[in-house]
Amino acid sequence: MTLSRYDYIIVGSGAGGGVLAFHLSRAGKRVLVLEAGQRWQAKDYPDNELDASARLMWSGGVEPSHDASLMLMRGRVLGGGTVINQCLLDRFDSVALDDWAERSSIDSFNVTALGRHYDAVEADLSLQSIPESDWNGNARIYADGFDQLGYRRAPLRRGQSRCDVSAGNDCMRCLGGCPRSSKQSMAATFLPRAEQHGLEIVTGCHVHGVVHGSAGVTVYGRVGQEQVQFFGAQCVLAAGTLGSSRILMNSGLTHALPALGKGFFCHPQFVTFARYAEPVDAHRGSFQALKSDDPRFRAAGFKLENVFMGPVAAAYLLPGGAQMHQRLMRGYRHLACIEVAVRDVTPGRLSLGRNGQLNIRKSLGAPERRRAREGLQVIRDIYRVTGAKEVMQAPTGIGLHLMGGCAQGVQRDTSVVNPEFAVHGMPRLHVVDGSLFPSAPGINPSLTIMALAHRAAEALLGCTLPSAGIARGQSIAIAEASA
Amino acid sequence: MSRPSSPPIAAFSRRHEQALARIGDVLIPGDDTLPSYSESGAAALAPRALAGARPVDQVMMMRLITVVGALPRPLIALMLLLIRAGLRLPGLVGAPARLLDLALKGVIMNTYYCGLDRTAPDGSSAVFQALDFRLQMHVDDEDAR
Repeated sequence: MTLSRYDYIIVGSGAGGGVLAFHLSRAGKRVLVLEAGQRWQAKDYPDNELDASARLMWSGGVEPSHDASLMLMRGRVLGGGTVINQCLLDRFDSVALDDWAERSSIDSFNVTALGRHYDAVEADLSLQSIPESDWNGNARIYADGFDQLGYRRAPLRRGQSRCDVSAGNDCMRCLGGCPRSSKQSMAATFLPRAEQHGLEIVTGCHVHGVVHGSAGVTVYGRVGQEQVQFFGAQCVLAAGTLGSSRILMNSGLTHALPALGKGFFCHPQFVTFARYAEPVDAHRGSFQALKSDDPRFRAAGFKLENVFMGPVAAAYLLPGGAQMHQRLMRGYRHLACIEVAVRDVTPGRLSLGRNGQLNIRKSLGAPERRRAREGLQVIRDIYRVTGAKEVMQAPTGIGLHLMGGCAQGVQRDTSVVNPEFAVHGMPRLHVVDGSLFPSAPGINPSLTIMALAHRAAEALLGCTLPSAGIARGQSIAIAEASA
Repeated sequence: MSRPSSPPIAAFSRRHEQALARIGDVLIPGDDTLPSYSESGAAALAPRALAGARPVDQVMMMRLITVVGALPRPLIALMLLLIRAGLRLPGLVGAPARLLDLALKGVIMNTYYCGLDRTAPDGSSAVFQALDFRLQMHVDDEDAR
């Protein structure tokens, strides 16, 4: 059997894989992306929560941690998590990056050095904030509460291009994929651009493992029931924290990489609803316009998110059963929602269990519980001063932004990936996704994963890469890359 | 190429559906605006909801539905009450309650509130009508390219 040989095989098509695929393809390399999920035309994304969970997410929606204290969520679709997230694109601050530099001994984890990579990916995306005229009821309650209590808030910077809320569009729909291709997911931005430069994509491909050799890397797995393998001079794992860690473990590298699976983090999130006398209509119009921007919250290790959710998720998270449940759900339009997102500091651990399934050991430590309590108190205060009739806290925590497990760093005993993005001792095998994170930043990670992918592309190609300037309509000649 | 094998959830039968409806009616008994879980026909959507779950979880779900659905209604209600009471227990002590809640409440809410019932007199979702819920999204060829 003769295998096609690629210059680069990228496993995963999310924020890391998408950006990397674009820059490598644009540099003239033969690139293959393997994605476990399916390709969707934007207009065909599911229009209901049931199908969105079953068809766009791993394990049909959520995966519990070992003690089920957190329900973890991750995308399984071409474009990965960028298809199902809210595309909130903030840069990391010095608080997050200084911590990374200290943990990893990588000096270039700083605001200035990473700034060039942020600039490059931002130039290729449409970034907007939601004007006050487009706020919905949930945002107005959030803003009112912050203002009355003297907390700082700010507009969220979002990756979107033409939501056209004034025409009556309800952006909450886009949690199951944006049918207007407004959301700047990889499926709407970097991947189609990469395909214009020759990128090949195989969807429905479940990668089991890799074999690192002197001439390249063999990637093996299955498409449907068919066993497949692909050969690349270089392989990049961009399958996300759980995916990339699992592939390395499944490849028998646990003992060679003592830090593999350690340092698993997420941002635990705790939802609190409030019921108001008048309809809030938190599901209508623009979605998640504002963020907390109070230095006291940052210092305390939490932020408050102005989110909402469809009836399925709301029904699952609202407390109570039978009559109480039905009463609360009948008042769905009267519900507001704020969640506290905690900057996680207690590391979890990933390991391979029997039958090849990943064990996710992640508990809420005392620091996370304390941070959540402080944030929940602020939320209750917001609801009190804004006249809520009833406040309900969800009994279940959600774990978003899965990070770590293949930390980047200098020391082999505390990291998996070196500063040039190669797995320690395996120069042809690389990792470029959120699993690189040495700690939880307390900030949405997508933009930084993209920036790291831009940095990784430069490391792989051995040259600096200008932005394509696509979002600004610029025309920049493709740089000649010397690998 | 070998022939694809059927996922376990393909074995979800009418008996599983009836058992799930019995559990669902305890959580959502219905009132003057909301249909009960069984009236909504939501249990029939369970295979579709569970299609993305791991095969081992699909098997466990069908067993759980079979066992719990066979209990007398007061016992189902008691069990769901105990599950709710156990949700906030810390660590591994609360894990069984949280996993059972995810499995049972998860599939019941997912199938009932997804808007795929067509039980309103006009053929639309009676559940969404009761919630006065709808999302609007204008999509044309330019948007969805």
